[in-house]
Amino acid sequence: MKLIQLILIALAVSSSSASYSQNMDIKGNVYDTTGTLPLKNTMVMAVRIKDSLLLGFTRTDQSGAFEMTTVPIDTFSLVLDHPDFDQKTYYIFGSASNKEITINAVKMPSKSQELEEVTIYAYKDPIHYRGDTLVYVADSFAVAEGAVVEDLLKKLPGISVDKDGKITSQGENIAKVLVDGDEFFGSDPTIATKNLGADGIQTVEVYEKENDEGIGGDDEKIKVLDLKLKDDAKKGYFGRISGASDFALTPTEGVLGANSFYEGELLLNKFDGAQKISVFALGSNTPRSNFGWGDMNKFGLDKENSGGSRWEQGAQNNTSGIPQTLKAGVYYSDKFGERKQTKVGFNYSYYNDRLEATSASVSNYYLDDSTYMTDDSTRNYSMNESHRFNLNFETQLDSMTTFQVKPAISIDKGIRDNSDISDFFDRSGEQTLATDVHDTTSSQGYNVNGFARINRKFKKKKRELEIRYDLNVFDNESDGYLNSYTSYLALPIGDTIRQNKINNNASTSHYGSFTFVEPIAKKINLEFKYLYEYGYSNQDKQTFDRNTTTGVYDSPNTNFSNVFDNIRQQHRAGIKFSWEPKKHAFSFDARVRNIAIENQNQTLDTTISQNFTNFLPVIEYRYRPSMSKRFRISYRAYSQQPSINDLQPVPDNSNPNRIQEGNPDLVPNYVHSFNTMFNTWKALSGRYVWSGANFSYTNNAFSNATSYDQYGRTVSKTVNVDGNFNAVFFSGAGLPILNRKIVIQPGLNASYFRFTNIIIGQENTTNNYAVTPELELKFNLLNDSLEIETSASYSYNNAESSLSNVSTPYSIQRYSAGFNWRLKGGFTIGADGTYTINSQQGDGFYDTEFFILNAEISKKFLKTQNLELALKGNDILNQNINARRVINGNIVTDYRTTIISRYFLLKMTLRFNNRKTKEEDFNGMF
Amino acid sequence: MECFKKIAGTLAFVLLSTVSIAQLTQGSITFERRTNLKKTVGDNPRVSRFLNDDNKIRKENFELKFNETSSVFKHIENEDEEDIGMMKYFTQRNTVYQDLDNNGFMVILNSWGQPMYLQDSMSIRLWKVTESKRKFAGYMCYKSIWEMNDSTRIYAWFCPDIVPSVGPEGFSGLPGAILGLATEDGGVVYYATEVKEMEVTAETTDFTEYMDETYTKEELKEILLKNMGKWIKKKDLDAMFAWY
Repeated sequence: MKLIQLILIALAVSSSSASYSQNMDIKGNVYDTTGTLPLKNTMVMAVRIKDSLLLGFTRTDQSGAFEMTTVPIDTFSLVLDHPDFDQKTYYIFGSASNKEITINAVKMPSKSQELEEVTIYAYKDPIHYRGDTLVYVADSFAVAEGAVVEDLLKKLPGISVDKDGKITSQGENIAKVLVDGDEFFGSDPTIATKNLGADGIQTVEVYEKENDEGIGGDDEKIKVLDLKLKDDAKKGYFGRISGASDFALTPTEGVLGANSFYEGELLLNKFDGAQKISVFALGSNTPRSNFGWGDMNKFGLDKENSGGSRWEQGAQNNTSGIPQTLKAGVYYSDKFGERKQTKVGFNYSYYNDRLEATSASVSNYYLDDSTYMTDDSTRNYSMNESHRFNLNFETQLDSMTTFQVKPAISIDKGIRDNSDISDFFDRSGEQTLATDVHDTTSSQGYNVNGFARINRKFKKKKRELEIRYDLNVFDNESDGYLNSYTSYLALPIGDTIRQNKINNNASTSHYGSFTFVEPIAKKINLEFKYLYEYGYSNQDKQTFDRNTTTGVYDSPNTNFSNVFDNIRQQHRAGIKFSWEPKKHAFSFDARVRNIAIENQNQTLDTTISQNFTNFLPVIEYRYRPSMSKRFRISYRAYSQQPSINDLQPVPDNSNPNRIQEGNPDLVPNYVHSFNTMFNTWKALSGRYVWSGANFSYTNNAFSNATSYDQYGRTVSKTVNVDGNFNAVFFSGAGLPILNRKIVIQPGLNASYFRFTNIIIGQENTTNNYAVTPELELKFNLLNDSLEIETSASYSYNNAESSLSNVSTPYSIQRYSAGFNWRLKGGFTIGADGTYTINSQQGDGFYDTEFFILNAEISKKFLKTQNLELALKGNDILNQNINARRVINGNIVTDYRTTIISRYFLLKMTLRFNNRKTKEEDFNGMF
Repeated sequence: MECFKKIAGTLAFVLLSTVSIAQLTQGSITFERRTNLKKTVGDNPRVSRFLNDDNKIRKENFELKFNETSSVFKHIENEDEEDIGMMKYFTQRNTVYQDLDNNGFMVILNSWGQPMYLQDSMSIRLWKVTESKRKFAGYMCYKSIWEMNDSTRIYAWFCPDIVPSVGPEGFSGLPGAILGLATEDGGVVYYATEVKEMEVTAETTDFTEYMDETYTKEELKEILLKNMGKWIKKKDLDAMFAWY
């Protein structure tokens, strides 16, 4: 080990004020270990602590003496080096009163017995910019043997990965993860990040890219993360197989052996130059199997294209619970042709996930004349099965012309089974109503989407023409049964609803677009774009009541049945002016859109026609004063169309306590959105700061008009409201100190939301403020073999609703600490603990505190260290609960969901590859 | 693996303690220079046509002779060189003298057919010294970084055991001879393949005979830009002069 002696030379050392110069005078005499033999030509250098700048150097003379007079007053290390001895370091804290320093009789330490470990340092700077691309050299960031890409990403300064695998880079969302520039298994980034080995990655690159998808909506640029594979990883095979189980030793509701936790994984990659073949399979019933964010998008609440899955307010509470997942897929991509000008990609994946969630919630309804409270217990079971096919074919017809087709097909099946027991209380706490709702639905459908485009470049640089056609077809059928019983506690009667619901939901959208870019001067481009959309959606809802005598669901219920069509024709034309002088980029896109909508109620034979013409400008300015600093500000106006579910004028009584009804008079919304973002990055010191803010102001926003009956049951209808406002501010920094051994990461996020809904005919505006400061400290010690992370965050939230004037502040505090220590002999131990305090003034079970402790010990075997055996303990103290608060207009709901708590797993992993790792591989340059 | 490391460690320790590396004050260092032409000149379409994976890395050898006060850095001619044809025009092979006593240097630029003489005082570069170390030709070196500008950094590995502050091309000013020098992107890399102790006389490093028609760095840059501006971009010229 390197022997560093720390000697603080402060005021104790001889000081005088004879000289007025701003330089220091450092003198000394250097001897051998015994202190008798003066050492000639010992190197003496002064290196400033704060940035490692070499302030000066000299050599000792014949008598071992040295003197340096050119070093300015500063705090620096004085390093002495002689080949026969070990290095010696002094830390000097210079000041005006302590600038003359004499170190008498320095005895150089003898060469230590252990040879200093030769660390191989990456030849490249670990982080640098290449143009607009931020490049991380993967080998510069130490990860454990066998780590996957996600472990690597967590090490990269400025990048964070949350527990669902969602990635942000310096505060900005990463929309896609690419492997060597290509999509890997469609839209699920976790397949790449959780499966590919970190050791096969050459660089991780972050850059912006045109969004290929989402035509007709927002054609914004998206941020992508591109994993560039090492050359040797591109030739050969590698993979991993692992299995884990608790051998049914975890008690489930007190019974041992009832449920066995397991995780199993298989990944095979065979890469050969441009040809990549991958196979993966993953099955588990631990929280690890939670569907990642990429999948959530699939079932998401997309306004423009919404299918039938938007069923209830607060549907998002289904995301936690007890999961069971199977995912599997194959991936193939290759390039063909003499110049490799044809690229073919295909992947298929199969998903089967089940989720069982039991949750309890307490909701308070704040109305101007009264307050209600409801107590709900919900059990949701859902099963989704999906086959997804993605194909990409891209070829260069000639050196100027590219043709691409990219279709995607998914076939989905789903089952949902919800039970809900609710009790309603009035203001005095007296129970007024008890309901029991059981609703099951099975659905199946498919989605076909894709595009074909031809892109032509010209002899004149930057002139470009693109013609593109997009298709999106969606079809979903569902069949469900509702069984609900309501008892009125004050009355000796009850309501029973037993219905069969059959829904057919289909939509087809065609888009044709034409884009032409013309450079009108050096650095000035004009882009002309025209888009045409024709869309047709149809939703057929049939409801049948159960015949109480025959028990057959055969009497049509017209109140809950309807056939509804929505036809849209959109024309959008725009001229975009962009000017990119050095360091600056400015663009102005003037877009005009006309949309003609026909909402046809087939059942009543009525039609509502709408026609809107909007101006939708986009203005953006970017400034990049240096490679490591960037600033962006943009304004964008956009408009979204309501989903057919929001339009169809038929009540959805799948929860009879919360009836939701569509509104055919809805008009598209209009959003003004401002974004600003700043970041600076110093690669040498590793210091970075980022900050940004988003504001959006929405007119004709989609909201709800809700009315209450005397018990507090609701009927809601989607309506347009004006003046919704969102403001989000976020910032963060990374400040490495002591040669990056410690990184301090402070952060501050704040948000303000204002939204309006209609409560019994009156406007109710909710103002919601939140502020969250956080601080994280990371330590990398003992040659990076020991990593410690600690963090603390405090979040304060306050929501005020205008009708009730009730404010409901609450706070969440989180403290966590963890470590991971790689020991000799292939052992690794690690543990992390998080202590959460939820607190709120007033009532409710939201006041909770819990401490989650996880720990893991593992050992690697074999010469190659490729076999690993690990014992993992999850939530060792058995305290995990999922508690959340959701504020929706005048409703404040506290949820508590059952999730997996304590379990232990024994896990075995075998990695294999045919790669030879060349230790001192400096890109073939050394 | 672990066991092997231990043996290697013990061996190295035994070697170190018996044959300790002495300090050098004069001698000769052989450098190999590897230029990744794709990175240095690849953005010129007329050049990039000639480049492929086989010839993109160009290797050339140089010798740096030094004593306590001066040095000379010269290309080692390679007789097989002719085969490469025009490839040799993509790199420069200049001779550099360093005069540590007077803090000056002289470059004989062999480009464009006729030698040109650049004489100036040593460039002042601000170095950041890192804790990173590696060996070149058996000598342990410290890695240091010079931020040439916002986008370019040069790395130099200097060896405190070779006393004179000399280095390849015009690089100097570190507490020991530079045995490794590289641009951040790996476009150009110099690294010592051999270090020999030998007597280097004052005559060897004398450049007074060329001192008649010299230019300073700025003057030469201006002249080149004026006369050669059609063929050479300022950016490339700056990159070329960054080595001095």
